[in-house]
Amino acid sequence: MKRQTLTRQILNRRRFLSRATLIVSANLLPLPGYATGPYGPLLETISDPMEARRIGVTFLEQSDLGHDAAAVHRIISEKFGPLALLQDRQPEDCKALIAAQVQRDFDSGDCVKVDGWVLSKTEAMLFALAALHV
Amino acid sequence: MFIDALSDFSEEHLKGDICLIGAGAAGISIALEFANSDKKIILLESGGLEIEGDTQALYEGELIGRDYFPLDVTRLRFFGGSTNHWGGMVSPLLPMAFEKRAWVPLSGWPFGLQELDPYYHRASKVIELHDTNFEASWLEDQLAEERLPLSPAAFHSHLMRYSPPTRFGPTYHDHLRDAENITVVLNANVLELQANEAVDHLAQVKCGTLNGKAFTVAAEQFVLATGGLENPRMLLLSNRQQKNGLGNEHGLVGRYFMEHPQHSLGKIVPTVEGLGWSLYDGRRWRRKDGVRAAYQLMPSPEFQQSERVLSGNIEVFPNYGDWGEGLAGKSYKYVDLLGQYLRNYGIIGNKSYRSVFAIDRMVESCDVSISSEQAPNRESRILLSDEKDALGQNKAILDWRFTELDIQSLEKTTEALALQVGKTGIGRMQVDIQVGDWPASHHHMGTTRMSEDPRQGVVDTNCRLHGMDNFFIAGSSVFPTSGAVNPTMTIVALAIRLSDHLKGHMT
Repeated sequence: MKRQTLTRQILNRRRFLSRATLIVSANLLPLPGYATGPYGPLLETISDPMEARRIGVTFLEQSDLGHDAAAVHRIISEKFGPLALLQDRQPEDCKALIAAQVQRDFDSGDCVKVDGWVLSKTEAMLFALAALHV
Repeated sequence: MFIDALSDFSEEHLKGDICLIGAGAAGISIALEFANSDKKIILLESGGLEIEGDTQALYEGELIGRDYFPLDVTRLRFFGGSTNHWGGMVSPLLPMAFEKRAWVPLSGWPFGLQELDPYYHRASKVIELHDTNFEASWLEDQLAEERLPLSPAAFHSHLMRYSPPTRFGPTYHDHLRDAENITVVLNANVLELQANEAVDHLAQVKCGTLNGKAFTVAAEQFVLATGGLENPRMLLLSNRQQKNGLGNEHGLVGRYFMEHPQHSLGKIVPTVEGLGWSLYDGRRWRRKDGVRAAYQLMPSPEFQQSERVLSGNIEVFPNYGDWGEGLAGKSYKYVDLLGQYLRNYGIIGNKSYRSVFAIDRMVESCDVSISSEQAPNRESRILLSDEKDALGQNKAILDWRFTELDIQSLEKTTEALALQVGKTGIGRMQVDIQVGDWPASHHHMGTTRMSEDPRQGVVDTNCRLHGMDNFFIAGSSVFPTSGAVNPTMTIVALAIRLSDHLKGHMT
């Protein structure tokens, strides 16, 4: 019983983290099944799609992208290559791919500030994707 | 010996070898250095042994600059001075604080850290540190736990140690009472510093009490040690012989007031577990012998130089979440307290504590704040008000100001920290800068700054008032720049250094 309570607390905390920053991390528990289509593999790595959507909307509003889905798709493709190649990837592979891209963004200073959160451009674009497709 | 000028005292004139004005950290440290020597020490203290409302009211003043604490709240006027409400966090100043930095106007002490090093060691005994180890790895070694993996080229984890804190009044009362060469005069307010005709030698100080007594104290040497707000006030009030105040030929007395303003910077949410966030929480670790320490983050010298920013002391304050609801959550909190107790008393190791009590996993977010260094600013200053206190003395006015460099440093440092947190993958930071929301640290610095050049400083390298041969100032008012760490250890180190200087120059 006690173990269950503790586990619940930790899970709650993980959801808290994912709500707050939506980090695509092996430590976080994804909530799959909401996204289909070519962006499904990427979107399924996001822990809390509704919070991702909220941040994505804010990001789109503050950027020049507006609701230009084509522009978002183009940038995503530039970052991850042809989406068709993602279709057969396992979620863990997608997470690793995203994590590497996020690291490259931070290393090169390719970051944005959304609602005060300093995020990699890749993270922000994924949230923008969520805003358009979730 | 202690005497109370209010009750058991009828002298009109006292004479000693050294007259110390103010019994706070600096004044008491100097008195201790001369205890049981052949020098007769007179230590004047405005208050008694306990706080008294009418004496404390002598510290009332006006604020005309940035929001600040009331001047009778930010310091204490009784035996032991502001060490009576001191938090106890200590560190030597970092080497860069002493250096001339091209982007910080009027920066640079007349000497470097190596000059103060031996005095820091002696100061550590006065403030009751168990040892003088300030190596960053010290706490890691104590707890077998690693600091946050931030790039040392950007930020480093600086070790802050804690004094118990030493309350200088109660701690050293008996020592001073039993020293035959020391007379502590309580409730003795210095009203005027009186120089000779040439105004190059302090002849005596004029004192008064709240019940109307008056007397003078003459000495071979004088040390003014009444704090960073009161030291300049005393000089400005002594304006009978020099109309702008004693030592104020170049209009510097009271100027360059600096604090360590505190600003909220936002929050960090960790994204990986197993990191030593709790090493940054000064509340959580206290060894059974009373030793306490914690890390704070500081921008590296390289970062300060490349970005042309001031220093700052960044506190990362972990929030451990709500521990769950109901009895289970409450129980967990107490179980964790038990874990801390077992760990702090060495019954279990830190590794066991961390794994069994899940402390790292409980860190849900960290509030981030900074205690900033300020650039010396001529317009940030202490002035005299037209309003008088109960002794008929003009009250102080504080006009505290920020510079553009202060704000730019804050913004650049925060952005860099947020990037570092993301880059190292330890979490993400939400930046939300609230300028001066605390608003400060009760650190009053710079108002009688030290410089070899009388046009840039009130006191010289030995803390002697420029133009006077026997009048010295002790305390953080002599700091030319403040660095980012808490000042008390440096105040005591400088006081001991001044004591050595006096010992070497007295017959």
